[in-house]
Amino acid sequence: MIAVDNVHVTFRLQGADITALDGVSLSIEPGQVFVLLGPSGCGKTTLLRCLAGLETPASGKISIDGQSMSDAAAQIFVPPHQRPLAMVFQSYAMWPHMNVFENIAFPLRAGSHKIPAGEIERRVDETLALLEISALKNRPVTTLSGGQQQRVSLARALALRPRVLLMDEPLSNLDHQLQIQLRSQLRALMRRLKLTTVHVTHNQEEALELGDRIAVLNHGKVVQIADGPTLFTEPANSFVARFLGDMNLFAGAIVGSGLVQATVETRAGRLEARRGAATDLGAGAWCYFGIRPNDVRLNATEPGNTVTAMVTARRYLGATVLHTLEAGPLQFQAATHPAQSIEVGQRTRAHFPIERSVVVPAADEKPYEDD
Amino acid sequence: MGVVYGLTVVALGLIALSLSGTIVGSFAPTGEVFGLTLDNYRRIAADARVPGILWRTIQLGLGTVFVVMAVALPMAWILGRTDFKWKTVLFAALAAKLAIPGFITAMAYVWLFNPSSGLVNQLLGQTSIDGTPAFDVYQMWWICLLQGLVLVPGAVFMLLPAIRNLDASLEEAALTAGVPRPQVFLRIVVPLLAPAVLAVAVFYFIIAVEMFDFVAIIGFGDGGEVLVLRIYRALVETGGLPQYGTAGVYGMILFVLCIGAIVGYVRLLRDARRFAVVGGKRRMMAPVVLGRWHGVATSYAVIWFVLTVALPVITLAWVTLTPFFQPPSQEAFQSISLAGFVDGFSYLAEPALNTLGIMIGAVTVAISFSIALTWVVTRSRSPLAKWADAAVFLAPAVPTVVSATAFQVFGIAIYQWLPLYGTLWLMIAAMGTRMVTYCSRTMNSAALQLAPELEEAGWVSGLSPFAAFRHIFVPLMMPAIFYAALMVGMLSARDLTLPLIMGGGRTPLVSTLIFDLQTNGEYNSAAAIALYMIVVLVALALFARRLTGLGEAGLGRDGR
Repeated sequence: MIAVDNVHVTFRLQGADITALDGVSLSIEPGQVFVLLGPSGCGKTTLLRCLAGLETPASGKISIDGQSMSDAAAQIFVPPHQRPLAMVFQSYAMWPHMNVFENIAFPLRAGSHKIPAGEIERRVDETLALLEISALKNRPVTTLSGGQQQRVSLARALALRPRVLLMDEPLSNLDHQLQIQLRSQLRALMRRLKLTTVHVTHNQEEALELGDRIAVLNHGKVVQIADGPTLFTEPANSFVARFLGDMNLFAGAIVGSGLVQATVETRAGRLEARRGAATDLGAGAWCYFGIRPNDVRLNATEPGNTVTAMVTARRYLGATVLHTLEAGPLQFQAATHPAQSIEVGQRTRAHFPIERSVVVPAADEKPYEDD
Repeated sequence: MGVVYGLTVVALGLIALSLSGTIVGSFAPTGEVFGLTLDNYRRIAADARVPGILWRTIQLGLGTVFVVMAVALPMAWILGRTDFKWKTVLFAALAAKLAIPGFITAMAYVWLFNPSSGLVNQLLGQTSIDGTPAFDVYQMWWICLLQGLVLVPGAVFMLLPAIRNLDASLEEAALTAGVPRPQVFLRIVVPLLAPAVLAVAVFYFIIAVEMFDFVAIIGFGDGGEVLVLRIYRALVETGGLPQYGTAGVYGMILFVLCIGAIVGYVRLLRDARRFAVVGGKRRMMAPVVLGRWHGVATSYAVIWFVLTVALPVITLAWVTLTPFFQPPSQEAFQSISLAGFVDGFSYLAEPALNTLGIMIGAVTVAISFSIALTWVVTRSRSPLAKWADAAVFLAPAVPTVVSATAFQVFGIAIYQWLPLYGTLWLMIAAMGTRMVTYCSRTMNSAALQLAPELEEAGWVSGLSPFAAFRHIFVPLMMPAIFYAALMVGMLSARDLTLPLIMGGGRTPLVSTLIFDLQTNGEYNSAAAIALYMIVVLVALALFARRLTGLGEAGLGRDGR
């Protein structure tokens, strides 16, 4: 198990102190694929580098399997090469003066994960076979494509048989098609190896597909830790709701509340929603009413939780059409099948099914008035 | 990483020593090395010659910079922005010139244009013996001109990246906005290039005032002095013991002059970089078609080549081939023999061996110190990094005469425990330290191009920091290391200043041998040895160029 306890990291950049991690705590179960997700600059890579020992936290503790890796107060810091882990870099960091075999074999020969010389070749071959790249064995790494480099760098890490695998945006330098293909292969491989993995990405689809658990970070803080479906349907606050799939959010306040549902007073009237992550918001609390664009029903006949809106713009996206609608002061988006699309300028009844609507706490102290 | 940090500390110690020795010396009582007195400062403050020396030094600096820039700017522009046909040849000529020692060029010009017996004056029948000489090389403007011409290759290599990297779209944006070409040049190109060009100018000011080759060999006919000459005379031509106190004070004056320049240089470089990061993706401008100006560009390059390479080499060959010093004539041609080459060769054994020793020693010292410094500056988060960075930047402000003096003082100070004074070892330490700053800058820029993840990937794969340094950092730095080693070898072989001050006749080198032979009037042998030296060094430079793309790849920017 990996335990991160109240870790702070600050950088000094051009005379100014920048807080990269601001009291991050989390724990990762053995065999879990744990994704760190967030926009650029949120601190996710810094956290990964702290786990690797490439950054030194100013305060806080990190331990792997009960063994302290860094503890600022106790002045403990285990250097990277003595940690039971391996890492895949965003740039792959292939050593250009060695071929594929050497890139994988060298750490097995000269590092702290040293194995007997006679076993090195077998270990390399096994790993190459696992990743289906045996044909690349003797190629100079400088001749490899992006996707091949990505697999070789993963092979280099896996050949070490680490207890923890760290991956820093390993797919972000690849084109979209290849990303999707490698993602599912990576997922299958991780299931098979049951290796504790920490995976950093800014891509929400990648996070949802790969992660057993996902931590969303913003401004150096953990905003929410949950599995993918929970994160998507019950975002902890408006930041998570917007970052994952661009949820429609209507600012408002809770007026009536039960345990499972709550009524939110918005500028388009009262709307019912599930409580979601907002279990402790009482009456009068500022919040958002949230619904995803593809959960909005247009031309609805259902009673309740509806608004009358006018279509002001349409974007044809192939599989769906994304409508921008206005209901009085509110603006929101709704996706439909192209066959059910509505012309710009037409009015329609938009229905927000209660089981698809959710109360979202405000990330800021008070929701923005223009929402 | 103990070894790496250890080397860094020693390197910093020696760099600090190369300055502090002079400071210590400047407070020493006459005839001693240690002590604390302001007598030296008082004496020099009262010396009426000082303002004159200072003024001449500044004239020498400014004059040389003027010549360097006037020649190098058009040449860099021709190489960087035009369709000039002979670029490869010109690059090779520049690299070759880099290898020819300045003092040999100076010597050849003294033989050609000295007022009493200069070959050209003799040929014209106008020497100072007959009346007014046609040419008198012992003049400030001659020294500025020759120093300037000799420094052109290094300046071209420094200017080239700035001229090449100037983002074409910035010019095109102005042109498409309807701004006429001359205006684009004045309002866009000039302001963008100004910091880089000024930085090069300031850098060469420092080199010009500390360069000893021309001042030592040519000197001033009216008996005037510049700071380096004064320091040299206080140490060597005293007729008695070296005056470390006097040399120390003049050394301090020279250092202050240079440190002022280096601060300006660092600022300008920062400005140049600030401009350099503006555009995202830059594009090269289509080369300017020279058309009928091609002939002008060619003759321009040819004239430079004739003045700095061909003329000196032909002069050396002529002086070697003729048994006594005489201008070309029918008799002279009849007396041509190869005896000069044989005579010259007979002197070479010991000095050549010593020079080889200096080259190997300086390369070893400079490379091992520099690679350690570079790693500490670019990779570590050690507090040493800041000091190392500052040292590498500021050390060029310590003139060779000053650091040579410092090492001499140091040698005397430790003599009773470690008798290094007057040996090749102390010279190697001084030369190696001198070259560290040069090497580190080349290596720092190479290290900055290497992704730090390459080593981090080693650490997280279980490699100790030293294993990652040895098996990843060093192998990947090999091209830069190899290039720097060749340059250090070349620069230390051809240096005259340091051995003149430190050798004291006890450890002759090829460079000091040529100097002594020329001083003693054995022109024939001096010329022969100079030619041997040029052949070896030019071969080395062209070899380096072949292997590493000296100049073109942006390497060799600091070459003198």
